[in-house]
Amino acid sequence: MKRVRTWFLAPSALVLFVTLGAPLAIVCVYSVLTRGAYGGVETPFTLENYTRLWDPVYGLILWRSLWIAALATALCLALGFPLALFIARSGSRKNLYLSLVILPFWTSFLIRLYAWMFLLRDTGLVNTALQAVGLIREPLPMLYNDGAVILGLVYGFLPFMVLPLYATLERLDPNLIEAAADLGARPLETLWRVILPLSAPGIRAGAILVFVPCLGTYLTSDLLGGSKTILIGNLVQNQFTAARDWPFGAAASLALMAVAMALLFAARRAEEDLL
Amino acid sequence: MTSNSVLELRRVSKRFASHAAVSEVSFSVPRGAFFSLLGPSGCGKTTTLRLVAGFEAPDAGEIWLNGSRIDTLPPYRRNVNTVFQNYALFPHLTVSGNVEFGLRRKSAKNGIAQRVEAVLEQVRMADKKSRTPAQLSGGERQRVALARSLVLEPDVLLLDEPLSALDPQLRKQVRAELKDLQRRVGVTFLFVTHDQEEALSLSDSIAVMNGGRIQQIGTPEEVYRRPATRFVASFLGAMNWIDGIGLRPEALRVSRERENGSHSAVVTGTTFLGPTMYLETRLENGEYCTAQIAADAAFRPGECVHLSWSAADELRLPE
Amino acid sequence: MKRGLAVYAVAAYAFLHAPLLILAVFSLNASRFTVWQGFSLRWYAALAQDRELIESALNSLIIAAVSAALATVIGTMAAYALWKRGSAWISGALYLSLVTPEIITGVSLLAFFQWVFRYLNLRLGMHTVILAHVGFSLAYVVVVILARLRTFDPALEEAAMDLGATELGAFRSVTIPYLAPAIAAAAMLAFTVSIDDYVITSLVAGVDSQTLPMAIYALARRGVNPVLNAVSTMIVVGLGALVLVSERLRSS
Repeated sequence: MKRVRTWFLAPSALVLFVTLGAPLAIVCVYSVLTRGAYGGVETPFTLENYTRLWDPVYGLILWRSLWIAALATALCLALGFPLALFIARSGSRKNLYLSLVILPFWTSFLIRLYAWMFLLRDTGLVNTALQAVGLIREPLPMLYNDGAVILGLVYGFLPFMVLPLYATLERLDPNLIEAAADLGARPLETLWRVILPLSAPGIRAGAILVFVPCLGTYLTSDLLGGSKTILIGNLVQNQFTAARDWPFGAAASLALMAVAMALLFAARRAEEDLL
Repeated sequence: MTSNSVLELRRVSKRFASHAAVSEVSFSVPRGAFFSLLGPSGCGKTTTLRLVAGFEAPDAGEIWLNGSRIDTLPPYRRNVNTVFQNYALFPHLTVSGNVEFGLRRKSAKNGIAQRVEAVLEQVRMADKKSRTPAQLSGGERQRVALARSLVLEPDVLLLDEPLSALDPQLRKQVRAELKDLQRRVGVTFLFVTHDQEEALSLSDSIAVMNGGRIQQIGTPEEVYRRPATRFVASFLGAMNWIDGIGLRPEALRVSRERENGSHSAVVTGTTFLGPTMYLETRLENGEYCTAQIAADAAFRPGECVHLSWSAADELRLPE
Repeated sequence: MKRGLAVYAVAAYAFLHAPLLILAVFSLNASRFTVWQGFSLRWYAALAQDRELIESALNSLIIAAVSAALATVIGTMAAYALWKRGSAWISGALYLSLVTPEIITGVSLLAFFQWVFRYLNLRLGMHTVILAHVGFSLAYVVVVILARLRTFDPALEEAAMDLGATELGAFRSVTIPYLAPAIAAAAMLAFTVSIDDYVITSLVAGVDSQTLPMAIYALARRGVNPVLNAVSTMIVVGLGALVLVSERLRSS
């Protein structure tokens, strides 16, 4: 019995070690090394990479990343809640509506970002259409800025918010809604005083599921963001490619991991308290 | 509408996709009465209650409350309140939070606390007002549900099988408390149940329902002793049918000697009930008959006995 | 309120689906600009002629097929073992692989491979990409198979062993057939995830193994390219169909 189990776990243990464990260990080691003359790393061990992160330049990048991730999460919540409510109340068509939300997400993240580029570019569809109708004369700069990045993030991660919200709302006892109405609460009041408080677990879960990936986003800010929209993900990628400062990139990576892990841990603890 | 009746249904009907849940139901509930809707599951009693509460709208007919028509109003505009079968207490609020829920909009802030305290005293839950529903027992939750509705002083309190979620032991005790509460507070109760013993012991009036229609309305004694149909007779208690005549088990006298007009039968079995006993017999014409007798009577299977009854106890009802 | 919600839902679904639908529509545009000038299949024709794109597509297909197959086998075995008795290490590692931002996974793999290659005389190429893809697909496979296993009655395996099968035999003759739809669904999922990956692949691919997402990225960066609309539409339709089939299998 035990032998089967060991053999069955061995391949995945090996894969996880090679693709996750060892790489992360290397990154940890690199983060305390020094940048080599031709890229690469050299031995003088140092904590300089970490102290460099305190530089206001990088502080700004962290701040911007947090701010954009928070805004995207808030928008996902505001836009996703009514949609989740709609699906939870749609009776027999629940699964259909749910699939319609999930489906776009699984097609291709890259292509979905390109679709927005196609729409928002200076020569893109929206500008062309607005100019053709005569509403504007010059194209509006809708792409290559923070706003476009947030739009892309919301577009990409909305399903991550809708699913846990739906799961919580679906389990809500319909009698509670009737009881509120019975006691005199109008529909909006019921929403505010009963439905929202009881959806708190779903809201928390969705917020974490959206915030953490948004914090570490790379592709969205790379394609839709401007030269000023450098987020943590872009910084890390830059250090490992163009800037060739692997130790610093490693330190930045670990900093991002630390923030993400802290958030997830806090969320887990909150969930356990509830249960 | 008479000045004494607070709730009146006039030929109310409701249809769901495949069947008619409620058909031409009419009745009127006197002010201050304990009025029950009794029937088997699926008879339409809960749907009728929901129509009065406002969670469903009737397809036909009218519902009048205190002289005004309410069947077109949403639930939050009707002065009736519901005690749900599973109590539907808000899990994120404490006992006092639940009870004051409906008050928050209406009265001034300072009046609320007193009214909440007063009603919690009435249901004897004042000392637990900071607990959450998860920390309460079934009986306690029911009392909070009652308090939550009563504090709003509804014209009629609607109760949807409130005792079915309790253990049998607790049920009898809570039943008595409920009756006592209704008498003290004086609110009109519209009570839904499938348990005839409950209905008989609690109600001032009972409306027996089956298949979406009302079969009979009357006092407990009337529906038990003078049932209008075979269904009502069988639903309210055990029934024997001998030669087309209906007889309750307790109406039968059993003796070992032949009497004037008695029917002979053979004992087929006995069932000990505690205070009394059921004696199962088979008559000469092959029909089976159960008599209720004293528990200490010593009859044995195979014995020949003689059954008799008084004509006043006969129920002649069409099939 | 129900009406309001329905109206909102229509708008929300439009927001979610319109961009891709618009791409699909414009992939049939005769003009290369964002002005509609008639119906045409010329961009699909141009696509068929583009050697570079076709080669990257083939690379992607090979990588996805191989990595999905490997991930499915390894992941199914792992899920089964975890179902029998949990392992905090493996579960933790799988969770970590799901929540680690892609960019970090990518750079750490790059760093690791470069370090290893100092001692083994190797370079970045298809093999590193496949290894990386197996790595990140594993967690998805395990999740799908575990979900299915949770509805599996362990008494069935015990019954098989009671009737003479070995542990492995029971697994093969009883459990695997039960898992079959989930295995197929997991394989399709792993395939989908692999075909679409850009971030990790771009870092560990090396010079001569360009994948389709990498080609698309390069085109998207360069500017207006209507062939991209055609490629995108084909990919979306293909993956969409794959996902639908996978979901059907999962819920059967």
